[in-house]
Amino acid sequence: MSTLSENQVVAAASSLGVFLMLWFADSAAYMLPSPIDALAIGLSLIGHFKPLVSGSVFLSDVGYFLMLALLALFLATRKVADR
Amino acid sequence: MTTFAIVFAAVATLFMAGLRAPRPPGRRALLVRWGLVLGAAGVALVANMALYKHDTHYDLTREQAFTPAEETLAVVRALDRDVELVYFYQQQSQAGPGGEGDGRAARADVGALARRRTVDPRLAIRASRTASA
Repeated sequence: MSTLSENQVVAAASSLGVFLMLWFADSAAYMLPSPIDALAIGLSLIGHFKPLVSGSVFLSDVGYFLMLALLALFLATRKVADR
Repeated sequence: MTTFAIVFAAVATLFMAGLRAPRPPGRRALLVRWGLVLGAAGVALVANMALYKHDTHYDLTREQAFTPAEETLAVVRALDRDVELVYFYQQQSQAGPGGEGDGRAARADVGALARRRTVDPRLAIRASRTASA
């Protein structure tokens, strides 16, 4: 986030906001209508994290974290290169 | 595992290509920048959906806690139609699979089993909360 924003305060606030939104997405999913709740659960960090730490490993969970890391690296690298 | 490797290699290749994309001057730069951001997010989303559709499950627990018994798997393999299994639990129940007296634990454990639908396509498992007595 700090590479995507010029302002440090905006970067910190948006980092916290995105992190909390991804962390608690599955808690809010049960209040959402049918097609959107599946998307919210799919985006949830904790929804992918809990099975992993309990020993139930789905490759889609591993992929989710790898894709998230790749996406963040891509956006950060591209932004730094643009400067 | 093969699907995972293919999807991961495809995404890495697309991202590498995105890093080498030209940076036009002027107003088009903004369009290219936002196009790349949205495109990268879309690629990540599609890759996750592909992984979910062709999921593989490994049970790393010593007790094989997330693997149904061989007899159950034999029944599931023999299913010739879709079967939906509904697990009812109480919000404050002590008898949930997690045994933590917390309906969330039950929901999470049953949710993990329900995701096996990608592995056992004929069997769908759904958790349903009931009101406390």
